[in-house]
Amino acid sequence: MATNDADPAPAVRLGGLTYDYPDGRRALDGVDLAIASGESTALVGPNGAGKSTLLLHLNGLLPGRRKWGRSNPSVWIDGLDVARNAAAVRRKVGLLFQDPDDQLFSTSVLEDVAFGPLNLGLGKADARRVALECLARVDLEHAAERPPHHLSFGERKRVCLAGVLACEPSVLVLDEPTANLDPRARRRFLALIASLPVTKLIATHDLEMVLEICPRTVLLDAGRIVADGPSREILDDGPLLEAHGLEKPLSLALSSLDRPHCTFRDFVNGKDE
Amino acid sequence: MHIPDVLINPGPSIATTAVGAAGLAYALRRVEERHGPRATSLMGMSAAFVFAAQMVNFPVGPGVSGHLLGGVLSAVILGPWAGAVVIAAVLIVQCLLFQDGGVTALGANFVNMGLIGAVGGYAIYGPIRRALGGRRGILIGSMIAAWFSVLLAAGAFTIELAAGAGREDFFRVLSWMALVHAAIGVGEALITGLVVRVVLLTRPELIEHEGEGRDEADRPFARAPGWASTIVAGLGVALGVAVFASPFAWDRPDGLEFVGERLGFLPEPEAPPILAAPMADYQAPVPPGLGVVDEVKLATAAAGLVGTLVVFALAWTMSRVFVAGDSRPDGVMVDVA
Amino acid sequence: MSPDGPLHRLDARVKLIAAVGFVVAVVALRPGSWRLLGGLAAILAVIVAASGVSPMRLLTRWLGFAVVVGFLAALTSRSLAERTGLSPALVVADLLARNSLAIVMMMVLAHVTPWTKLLGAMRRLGLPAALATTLAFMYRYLFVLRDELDRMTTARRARSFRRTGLSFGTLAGLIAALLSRALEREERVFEAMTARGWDGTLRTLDD
Repeated sequence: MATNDADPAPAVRLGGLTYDYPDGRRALDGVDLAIASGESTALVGPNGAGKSTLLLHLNGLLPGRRKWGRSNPSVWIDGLDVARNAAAVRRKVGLLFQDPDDQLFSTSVLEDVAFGPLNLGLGKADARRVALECLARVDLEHAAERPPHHLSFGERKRVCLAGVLACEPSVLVLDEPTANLDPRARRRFLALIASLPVTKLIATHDLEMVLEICPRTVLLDAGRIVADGPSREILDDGPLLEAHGLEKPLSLALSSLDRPHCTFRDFVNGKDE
Repeated sequence: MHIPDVLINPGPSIATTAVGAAGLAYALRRVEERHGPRATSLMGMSAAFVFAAQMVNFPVGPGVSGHLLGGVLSAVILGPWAGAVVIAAVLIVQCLLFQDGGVTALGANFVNMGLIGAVGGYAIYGPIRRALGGRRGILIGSMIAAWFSVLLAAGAFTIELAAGAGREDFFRVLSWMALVHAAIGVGEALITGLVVRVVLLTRPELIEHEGEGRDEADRPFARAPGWASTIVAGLGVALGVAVFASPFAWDRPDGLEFVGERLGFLPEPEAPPILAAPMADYQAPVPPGLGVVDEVKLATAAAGLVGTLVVFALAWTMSRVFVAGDSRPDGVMVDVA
Repeated sequence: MSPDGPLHRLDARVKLIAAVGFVVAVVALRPGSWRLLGGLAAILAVIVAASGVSPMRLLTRWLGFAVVVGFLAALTSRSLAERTGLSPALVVADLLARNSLAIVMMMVLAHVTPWTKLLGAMRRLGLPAALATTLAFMYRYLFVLRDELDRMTTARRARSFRRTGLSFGTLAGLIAALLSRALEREERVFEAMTARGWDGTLRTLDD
């Protein structure tokens, strides 16, 4: 694909991405998406919409997986074709999984954070330094020597983030970053994510978070993009959200209470327009 | 059952450690060839699963419970060599972390449960599965394999334990082992069958490997459905039967003396005059309560016969679920969350 | 667990070699060498005292093994008695005593050496890397799967309105469900590892 200097390649580009599950069901159906460098984008949609499947494609994890599902090579990261440059792409894209236990497989926290840097070819001393730095960024340097299963859920989540940051990705892909976190842990984690100066794509049901840290929202349902635009507009569109199994975030719904024609009953029933 | 330290003599301990290490090295190589970078997570997770599954206690009677051993189950799901690696990992953790099974008996325990249990069990499972075909073949094959794998492991256990000891010890141990393991074997067959059945009803692709499977290239007995596997299976079954039948050969020392010498569990030719009056010897209440030989012998044989019949009947009954087009019938409990 | 005794700080390799050496010595001992056995027991007593492990804990765990070991020892005692000239009861006592020394030594080793350290030591002493990695991975997910099993069991119990335990079918269903969840999780873990550059060779910070 040709790029010129005035218009650099987007950080993430999907061109007609289609993917079938092993059992033949269609997971993604011609998804087109471009995310500019530095942009924070939310990916929302009901369960089973294909969000997680889409995320795995960004790292080249799905097409080669067991040669089960069929998928066309149509993902580019910084202009690199994922299918042909899987190793290089994995350096650029950091993937944070929903369940920290899926990600933390090492027997000590420090080892786990150092796993990526070591695989990227760093020496032991450098990898240790990077790992400790990243643990400090998530406020967990004191837990370096502990086994992951002794940490709380929120702490494990932060260790995962440290492990991803240690690979110095330019694109951060997060799957449900706030799920199962208690309010304080969630707040802390959000502040951490918001402070990172990288391109972000966040799959989530937490629409309040979207309002807070993602200017742009992409709504995915049944493997297709049904809406793509500024988060405030999309998340304020009650009928659209409801048609796709979502619900207007409370903060926006409350502001619509001010409108004279909206009764409290309408508000509770979600019919606020 | 794990052999503890000291009970296995240094000779058999060294021999089984060597055999076990070689077998494990070969199994590891096969698994790495097959799964590549995936080997670690697949083996590690499966070993964690077998370990956790062994913690599920099946109530047998008041105060008595049994649990899955998992050798045949892992071989059926992952293939024989991967199954052996999984069992090795479980045994190492049990030995070093929970002192279950001796360090010097680790090789023997791996030979019994990994090489004989998983790989040997798969050798019995494979031909039955192919002969019967379909999910029925998988279920019946895995149950019969589970039964015989426990018996074979018990036989090997006995040889290792009694090697270096005397002949009469060998048969005493064999009888008791066979008796105990007849019960364990029926339990193992039943639990393996129940688990395999639910997996076949809910996630059949885990076993059937349609298209791209986990163990496509990892089935040593898959290629030639003809004589090779039949002989291996036949030998396995014959050995299992021998475990139960052999107590009857007890009364005829001549033939067994030869076997004993060949296997090395007759220490020296001019051993104490145990041949003079073997029965009198056994009747002596040496270990209190263990000397009632004829009863043990009969009970062993009966247990073997009954156990085999029970396992075959169970396997046949449970497999009827799959006769009608392998589809999911009503009323079968598959709703485990 | 106190992470601070003199034995905790020792190099895991030294501890592993010493413990296994001790067990091998106990196993190789001729039956009836009571004096040597007493010497080894005295050494073990000093080690137990230094390790800080509670003797009650050792005793209760030991009792669980002693029953099985005693049974097996009784089964194999006769010819050993004839060869060594000891009485069968003494042979059983000897086997039981030696086995107890071995088991207690391994309990102390497990107590003063965290599993990761033990694994690192085994790897540096020549355990194949593939096996060491598998063991580390297994240990990590043991707890995850055990918790998962607990949750499933509780959920089952909550819906099983019987006084007795769960039925065989239900228990087998739990195991099957655990199996399928474990393999699904393995898929996700493998994806997460691949995402961070995993190629089948484990690179670690120590050694």
